[in-house]
Amino acid sequence: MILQSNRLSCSRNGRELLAGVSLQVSRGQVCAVIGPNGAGKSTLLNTLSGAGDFQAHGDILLAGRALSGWSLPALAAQRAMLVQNVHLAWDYTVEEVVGFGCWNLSAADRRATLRQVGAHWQLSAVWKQPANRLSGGEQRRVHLARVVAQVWMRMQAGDPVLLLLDEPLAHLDPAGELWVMQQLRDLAGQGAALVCALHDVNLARRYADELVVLKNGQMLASGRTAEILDSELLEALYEVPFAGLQAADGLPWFVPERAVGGGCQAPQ
Amino acid sequence: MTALPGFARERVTSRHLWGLAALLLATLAVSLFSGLPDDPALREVILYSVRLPRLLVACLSGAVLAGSGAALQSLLRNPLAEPALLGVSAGAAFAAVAALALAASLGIAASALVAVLPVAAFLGGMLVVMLVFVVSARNGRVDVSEVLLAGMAMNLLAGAGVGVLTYLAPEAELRGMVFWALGSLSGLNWREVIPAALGMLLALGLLLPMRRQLNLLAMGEVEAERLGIAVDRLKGCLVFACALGVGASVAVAGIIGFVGLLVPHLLRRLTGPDYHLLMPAAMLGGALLLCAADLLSRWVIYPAELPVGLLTTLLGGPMFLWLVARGAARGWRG
Repeated sequence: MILQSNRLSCSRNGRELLAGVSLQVSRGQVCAVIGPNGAGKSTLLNTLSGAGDFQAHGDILLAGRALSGWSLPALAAQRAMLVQNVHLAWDYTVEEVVGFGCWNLSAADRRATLRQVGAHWQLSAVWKQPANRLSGGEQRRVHLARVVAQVWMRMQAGDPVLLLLDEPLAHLDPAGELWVMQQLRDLAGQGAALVCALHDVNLARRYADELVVLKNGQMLASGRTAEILDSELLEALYEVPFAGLQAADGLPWFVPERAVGGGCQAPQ
Repeated sequence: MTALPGFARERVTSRHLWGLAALLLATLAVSLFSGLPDDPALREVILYSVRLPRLLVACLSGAVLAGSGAALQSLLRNPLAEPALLGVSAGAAFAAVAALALAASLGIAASALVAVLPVAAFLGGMLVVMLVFVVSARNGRVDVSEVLLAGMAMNLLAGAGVGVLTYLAPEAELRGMVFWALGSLSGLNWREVIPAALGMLLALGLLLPMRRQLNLLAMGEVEAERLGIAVDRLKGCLVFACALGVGASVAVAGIIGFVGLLVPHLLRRLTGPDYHLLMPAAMLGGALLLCAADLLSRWVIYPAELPVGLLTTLLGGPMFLWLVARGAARGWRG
């Protein structure tokens, strides 16, 4: 068990943002957090990362040790987080930005990490360009690579590492979304544990082992994605009827419908 | 390194730092040895007692001002940040002038204050910067634009304080309003230079090792902390170093404008934003700029001297406008 949180609650200025959220993520697992805007997905990820300007209650255990018991450098080596919007000042190149992730490694380790991560995330074409001037989707890939570079060495060494990704697919085109989800699956295959806030429930269905469903800061459901994700849950979650289609890969494909009874028909 | 479409920035490598250092040495050599009299005894006095302390202060002040500017720009993620704009320089000047005025009213000779002045100036700069951060803090976080606004207000306030004290004081006791407001390197002697030089050296020694961490602040304080940096300690150390260095500089050379703003921007164009190179480059560049300005200030209206701060502003202003027109200052955010 890499990450374990029990009855996590948190509030800011007296306003409750999360109440009673429990989750467990093991080595090699991808856990998706879904829910409407304002449900508390970012707050949950921020709290799990050990940062944020709110008061949190409840246990968060990383690799069996309470989060508060980790030193900042030790935590940084085994837990990395991608925030929803990264504001990067100055014209740093892609190479420099990815290098931020492994800033405290020795020069040789940093070079090796940059070479491997840069290749994995297919960044060689933009490697020397200023990150801020790339397209939104490319910037997302750069920052994903930076987050992976942060824990890369420890992951290669077989240590338990945790990646918290707040909307990793933001700004990506449909092909890019699939490609990134495949990359994340590969990271899980190398032993990482991932928690991703996602909006695309179909990608969550295909790529996430575990699902945490948030609504208004409460946990509506949690468990194995294949077992709990269905049209009824999505309808209760987003308050819009969902049609469950069958995709070519045999898995269900959920489509939100505006009007009850209208919209798509499931194929025969 | 290949030039990329739409973007041709030739990155400077550490080799180029030696170029800056060589330029600085050349300027120093010209400044030290040009126009010396023939009389060996007089030559020695001019070299060791007049020019050497003056050039030491020029080098260290330039390096401290530019290094502090670069560090504050990283901390606030804003291209406007620099010690003068945040009120550090004016606060230091006010504290130094207040110490001199107090000493005068108590009948203590100003020459007895040489070691006290840098300390007072440091405390003044530190107090101003802490006030600025306290005023602009909300729930333990600071808003950058509020820091800059509060800094501007403190800058004007402390500047007015300097004005009042120098206006009211008898001419003999203070080194004159011109010195504090415009900055000057003339008439320095070793007794006042040594304590200030130690303060500035300590500040440079604190700023240089934090340059890798300064890069990470580009993504904000929370992100830097997630990358394993004790941000509060880094901030405290940074602000302390800036206040100490700028305070010591102001105590002996007054307020020298534009170095802290211009030099980091100019060199960011050459080195890119990576503080690993930018910080030492800014320090060398600041030293070079101030030494060159000092040399010029002794030449332009020879045998009289221009206050060096007037010259840095006269030269720096147009150069900075040129940078803005070229879009160089825009490199801070895509």
